[in-house]
Amino acid sequence: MRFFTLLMVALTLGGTAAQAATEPVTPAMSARLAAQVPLTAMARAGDRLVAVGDYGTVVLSRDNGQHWKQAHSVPVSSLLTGVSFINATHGWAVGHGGVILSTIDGGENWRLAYRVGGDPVLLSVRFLNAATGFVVGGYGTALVTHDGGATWTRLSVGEGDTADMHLNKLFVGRHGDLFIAAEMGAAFRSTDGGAHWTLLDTGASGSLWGGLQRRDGSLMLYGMSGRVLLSRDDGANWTSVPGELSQALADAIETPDGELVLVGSGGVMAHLSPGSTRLAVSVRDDRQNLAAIAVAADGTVFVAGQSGVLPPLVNKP
Amino acid sequence: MIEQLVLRLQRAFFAHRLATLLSLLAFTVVMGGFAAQLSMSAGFDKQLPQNHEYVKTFNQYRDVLFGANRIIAVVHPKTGDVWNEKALTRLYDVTQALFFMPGVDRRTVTSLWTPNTRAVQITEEGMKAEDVVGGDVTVNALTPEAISGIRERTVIGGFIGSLVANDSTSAMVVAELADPDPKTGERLNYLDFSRRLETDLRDKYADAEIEIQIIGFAKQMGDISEGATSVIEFFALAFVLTALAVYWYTRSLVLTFLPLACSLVSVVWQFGTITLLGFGLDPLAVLVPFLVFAIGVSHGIQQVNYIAKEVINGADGYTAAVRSFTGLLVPGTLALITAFVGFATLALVPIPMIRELAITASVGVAYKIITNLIMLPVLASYFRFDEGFVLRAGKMESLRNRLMVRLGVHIATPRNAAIGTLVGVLLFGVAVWQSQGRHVGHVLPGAPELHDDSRYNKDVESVVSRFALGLDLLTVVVETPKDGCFIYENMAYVDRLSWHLANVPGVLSAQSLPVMAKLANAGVNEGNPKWAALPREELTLGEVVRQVPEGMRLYNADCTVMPINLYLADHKASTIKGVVDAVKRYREQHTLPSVTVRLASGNAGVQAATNEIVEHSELPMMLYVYATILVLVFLVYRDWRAMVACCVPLTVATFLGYWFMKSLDIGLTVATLPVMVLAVGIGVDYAFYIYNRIQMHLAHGEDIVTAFKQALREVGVATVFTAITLSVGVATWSFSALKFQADMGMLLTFMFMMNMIMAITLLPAIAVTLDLLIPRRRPVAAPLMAH
Repeated sequence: MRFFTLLMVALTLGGTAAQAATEPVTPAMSARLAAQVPLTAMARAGDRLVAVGDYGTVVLSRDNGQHWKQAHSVPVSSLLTGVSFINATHGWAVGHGGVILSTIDGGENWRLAYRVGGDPVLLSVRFLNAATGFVVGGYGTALVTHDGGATWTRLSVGEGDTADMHLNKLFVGRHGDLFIAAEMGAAFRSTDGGAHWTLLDTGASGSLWGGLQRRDGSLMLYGMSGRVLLSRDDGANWTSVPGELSQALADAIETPDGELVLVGSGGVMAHLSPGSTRLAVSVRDDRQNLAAIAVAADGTVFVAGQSGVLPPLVNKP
Repeated sequence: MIEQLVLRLQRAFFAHRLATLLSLLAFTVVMGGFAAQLSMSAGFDKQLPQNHEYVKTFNQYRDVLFGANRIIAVVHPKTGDVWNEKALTRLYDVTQALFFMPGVDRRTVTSLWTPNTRAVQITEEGMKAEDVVGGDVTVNALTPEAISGIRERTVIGGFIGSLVANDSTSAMVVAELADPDPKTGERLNYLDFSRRLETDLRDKYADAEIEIQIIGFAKQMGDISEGATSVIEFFALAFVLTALAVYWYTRSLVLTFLPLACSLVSVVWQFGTITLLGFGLDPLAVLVPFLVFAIGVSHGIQQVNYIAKEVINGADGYTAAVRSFTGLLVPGTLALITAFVGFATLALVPIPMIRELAITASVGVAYKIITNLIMLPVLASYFRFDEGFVLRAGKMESLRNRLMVRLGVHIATPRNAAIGTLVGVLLFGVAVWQSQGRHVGHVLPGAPELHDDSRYNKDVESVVSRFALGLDLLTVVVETPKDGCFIYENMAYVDRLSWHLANVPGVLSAQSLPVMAKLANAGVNEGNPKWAALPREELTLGEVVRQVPEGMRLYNADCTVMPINLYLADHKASTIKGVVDAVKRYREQHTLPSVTVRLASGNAGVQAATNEIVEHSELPMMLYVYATILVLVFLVYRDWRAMVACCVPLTVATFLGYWFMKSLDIGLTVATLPVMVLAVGIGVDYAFYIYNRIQMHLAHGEDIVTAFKQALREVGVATVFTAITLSVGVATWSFSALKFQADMGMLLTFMFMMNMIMAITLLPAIAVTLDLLIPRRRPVAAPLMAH
């Protein structure tokens, strides 16, 4: 019963969301140093790399990261935090101020698709196809669209103590299961497209900043204190991967050859090779906070963070 | 009418020779008393245009903003890094020494060893902070384990680049100065403080293995004051060199004594006047007495030249002196008036230091009329010249005359005159072309007042290259109503402005409150970079703002001021101007009622103001001086040809001077703007003396070629020699410890020589060519100053 009440409230809010927005948006300014702005997320759009970050900055590379240029137009200048493409052309980005942006030309031009009422902090966006997508964010914010982002409906993920947790990242598992990595060791799973969510027992106490599904179908969660958790049974049971690591891990990828690479605060990079049971850890000399990692079409691995896009990684520990 | 006046004056002074000299002596004694009280003043503020928008901002916030009172001492081992017992112990000693040094605000002393240096780590439990040098570590227990712990926490705390060099080869102690002293309210004496830094810090803690580098505004000012005092030695050197030169020229002790003594007298009067006006001698103005002395000697040379010629032609000393008085009173006065007007126009530049210079220099030049045109010949009338002198001087005279006649023949033939004019025009074209894009402001890195290889600038270079630190700071001051930094709109405005400015070419980094507050917000959100944005809610924003250390000076207590500190790649005028223009455009295009964006503080901001004033003043100054010259030339000669012949060579010399400046990387500054104006004002003397004779000979019915040959024979040597004497006086500045004094010296020397060369070559060439191209229809009138 409570659930339905909440849903009704959420739907009402959702319906008036666009009007309730208080803060007018300013377009991102064109910047000489766009590729050196603090960046928070990276994604692939076909052969392109697309990274987003502060001041509404979107930077693109068409040549596997050799050159980066700023997107032609972005209608907002707040901090962007998440980016997701379903193919080479269609993508979405989210950020602070409740902004949801969309592109249909591979990230060159963006429009403000939707503004979530109350200017919440959005942290992650994921589309399953051109119609259905999800965004999650701070204080339990979660929304779903079934019409390509034109209208959004609020979802309620946690309950009670977990109701207003920060929902850090949404990712997709086997059979279309949805997972959310959240605050204070919490993670959620939905098997019905987001209508109902169950809290998973991860055994972790620190916040989980993200997660992914590996090609073999197993799952990984990662977050504060260098925590890396693996599950082979769709999130029912999790095991911790040991490693000499205390810094938070912010993003991860699985390389084409099955290696997991994670990046995090203090210039930390961690590798987990197939068959290995321990994380191999290295620290960048500049100790700068890393926030995103992506593989270019040619297999080159790129990381981005506090000072923008960094040179490609050549040495593996 | 003028001739009658001159005669009346001559009778008055020479009839009462003794009374004249005694009253002048009495005046000298009185002024000498005042002159003895003259003191040096550092005068940083005097270099600034006080009413300029930027300088007002600078003055209003100079005690609030970052950097003005910062002093940095760096411990730099000559080999290896600082991660060893010796270097860390030395760092401890220097930290302690700076802590106990009078004038230092002890709360602000920061190094690896101070308790305010803490490494913060974000963990699941929250933020964990610990001292970089752990509480249990002392200087006596720097074990390898302890050192590696310090090193690790230094890195975690983010102190690489700030307290420890990027490559770990140096470590620094930073402190702010308590100026004015909170207890006594007295301003800090930079010269004393700088000397204390040398004796109590550098001398004590630098050795064969470890170097101590000290930078900061106070040190810079101290070193400049130190350098300015060395100028006295150059004055002595210039005096000796000038004396030798004059003796070589005159071959007479008496004739050497006269111009030197009279010039010294006017310098004494000038010093006395400066004291009476309440000015001190600042590093720029200290050069004016040199200049006034040199001008005095050069006019004195004309007098002794005249006297010597009269004596050689058989006149006795008294008659020679009387003739010299009457002969030179008018042209000398005119020349001095031109110089006077040249100096006086500088008073229109709204920079106090240039104004003071204008006043002291024009007063000095005005005194010259008395000391050189009246006192010198009156004094000379007491001396007798023996047969030996007449013989010696006569021989010299004929030798020099032959030289000049030969020169005259070469220049004044119509064919050569045409060629000369053509060459002059070509040279002018090249100089105009080459001087395009002249530098404004200071060009080279480091403290512009000091030489590149001065200790201070070497330290700056070393520190800047090792640390993530810029010394060329331009601060944009953003003002808001009280508590303005807790309002999202204001903070977002400043945030976007600082990002916009960070993208301007020449800006290395932009530091501002919102940029730091965003990082703090990520910090309170578990260090997650996706939260590195400004909270929109007032209370949360306030909480985040308070996380930013006050010591960064990115906001004041009321939160009414939010500076944006822009570190620039250099302090070239073009770089600064690009940034200033970007700020101006942005604040015009983006307005927010609660926000005022003001330019500009920081050393680069202040320089921007000075550059703007200097650049905009130059043309009007030059035009006033040239206008004065044109008016005077017209009044004296009533002939447009004279105006052309006198002013074109001057203009060519001026542009050659610009070319010289450009190729030697001497920018147009507070120091060099006066030089160019003075050079024109003094340079016209040569033209006056030479054209005066040409005109006189023309009036006697001689043709232009003969007239010029005669003129050159009569005053050519004196003119060449005058330029050399002036140059000797100012060339000694080139050895000054202060770069701008050296620049002024080189530039003035060049300008004096160039003006002289133009006056004896291009001037006659143009005069001859003009007469050939446009023959005169009326006979030439005798000049006013003919005798």
